[in-house]
Amino acid sequence: MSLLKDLTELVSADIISNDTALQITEFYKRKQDTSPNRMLLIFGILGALLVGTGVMFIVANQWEELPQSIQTVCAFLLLIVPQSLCGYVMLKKPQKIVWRESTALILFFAVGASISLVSQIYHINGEMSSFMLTWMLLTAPLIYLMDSSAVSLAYLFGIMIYCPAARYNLSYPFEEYLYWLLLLIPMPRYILLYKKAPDQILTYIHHWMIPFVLTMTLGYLSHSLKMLMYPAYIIMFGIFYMTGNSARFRKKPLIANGYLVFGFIGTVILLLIMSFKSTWKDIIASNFHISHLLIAPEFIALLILFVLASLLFFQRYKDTGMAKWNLTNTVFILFLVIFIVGTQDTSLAVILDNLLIFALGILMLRAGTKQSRLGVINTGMLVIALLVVCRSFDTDLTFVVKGILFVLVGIGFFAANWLMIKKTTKNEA
Amino acid sequence: MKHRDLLISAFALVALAQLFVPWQMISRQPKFAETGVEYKFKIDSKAKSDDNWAGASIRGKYIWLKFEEDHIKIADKKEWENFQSAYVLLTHDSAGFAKIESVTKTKPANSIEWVRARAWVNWKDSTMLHLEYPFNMYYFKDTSPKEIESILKNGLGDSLKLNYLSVKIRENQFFVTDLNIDGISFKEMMDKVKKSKPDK
Repeated sequence: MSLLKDLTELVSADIISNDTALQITEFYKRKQDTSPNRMLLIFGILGALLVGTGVMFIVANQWEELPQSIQTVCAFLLLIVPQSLCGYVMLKKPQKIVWRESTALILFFAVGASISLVSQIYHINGEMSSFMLTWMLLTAPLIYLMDSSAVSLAYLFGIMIYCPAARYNLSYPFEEYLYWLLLLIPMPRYILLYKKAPDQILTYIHHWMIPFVLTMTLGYLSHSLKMLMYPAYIIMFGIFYMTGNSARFRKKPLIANGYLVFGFIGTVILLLIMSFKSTWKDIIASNFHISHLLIAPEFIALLILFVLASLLFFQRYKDTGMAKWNLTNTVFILFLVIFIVGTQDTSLAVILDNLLIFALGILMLRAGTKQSRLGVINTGMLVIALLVVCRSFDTDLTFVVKGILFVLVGIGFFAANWLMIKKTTKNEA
Repeated sequence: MKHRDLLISAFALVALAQLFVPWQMISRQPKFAETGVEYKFKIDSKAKSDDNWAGASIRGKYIWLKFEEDHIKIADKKEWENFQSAYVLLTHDSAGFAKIESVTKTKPANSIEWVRARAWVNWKDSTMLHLEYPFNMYYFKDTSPKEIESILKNGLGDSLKLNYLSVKIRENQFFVTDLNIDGISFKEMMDKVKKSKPDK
């Protein structure tokens, strides 16, 4: 570590004392002991995946030739071997993260594989939802018992697949809501992980996986009041954005901040979809029974999300006041207003939505220029460019006018970047 | 009890549960084999496959079969647009072959004679719901695909011959008994081919 190499120099130059140098050395030594080598962890998990797949291929090669009894023994061995490995790690190497993560992940896949194999050997034809549910319930305890982030991630992905399977399994109408309970299982550990190891690569991946899984599954709550899913999604993206923009996440690099990326991109895409008049026509055309509203899952989801978003919003501005106001944080409230307007006057809602996207782009440009951040400026430009592209689809403008619009946006990109680079070079000089 | 002992005991319980599930699946099987209802699914000798011969084609070590009873008329295609699978209730026709009684989106409560199949609405004829049964892949052993191909071409391609797959079905569980080509068991045919082949 370069800092440790410089310590002697810093001590001899009387910048730090001998004691401080000793404390720094001990701090890094402790840190090195408790935090795993990032590459070793990644390759450990990748290795676990490859070993599992390799074994499956070897067995699959001659699989059908084997007698049923041998096949059954193989299916059980596939489970017992990783279980024994996990037991060994728990007894002998509980502190070794790489061992814990890789063996737990192998066991996670082994459980799914053994159930599938037994189904195949004995021609047991089952429901996708019950298979996924059984698999996930049998492996969820590993998240806590093995203290495994890799299993937590695999589990989140697994329940994401379970969600549509349960949604379309009409035999058990309430099974689809079980997904939301399953989603709560890894959350306490996720919060703990976030507090204890905020800079671990697997924590970073969680910050991406959770918004991804929620984005993919919220839509399955849609039933007869489909139109309510638009504000529900906007509010959810608002929550993601506010989380990603909170004091704890803001300082993190973008690669560790999936919430910010999902929140912003999701908000912009949804606003762009709503900037088309045809989308609003579908909303107005959909059947709306006010009597069903209070028990509709879409409405309940919307309400819960709104309460959560409002709490985050007030917490955000409680201390700083509105001095550090950010339009993207407020989009969910403004969109709700537009949505209510839209149920009465579609044209006005479309105009307001377009203005909102335009304002979002302009304010980003302004913020980027103020902070001299080229990335923010280009994102603002991109938002405006996308708005122009969308409008060129549904307006009766001639090709010449459309062409001029695109040229102007292009020139805008060049000019903004050129001016910013010029400004930065001048400041450096 | 120490924290570690507690963890290990809990893990042991989880491991037992993980082993119990596949074991329970297997232990239920004998009961099913005794009580499953036998159905004979006629192979569609008119349908052309990718290999340009009727009713079946070879995919690796499997014979892909196309059945006559693999579609049903539906009243409203909208009802089925979001569904990728259907519960198929079966019955026997006057000749003793499998016949679709009805299709539902929910698990049939009053019958054991049903199987879940992949379902999709025909894109040309929206009143037709197509079904793909989980037993449409028949596994064959030991023999080279070329010999199988000639047997299938001669047998399944002839619309005058009666070809069918026997399956025992009970509440979505199935057990494939045999593939019959013009009244002769496919397994027996394979044994004959094997015997006629000189040992290498």
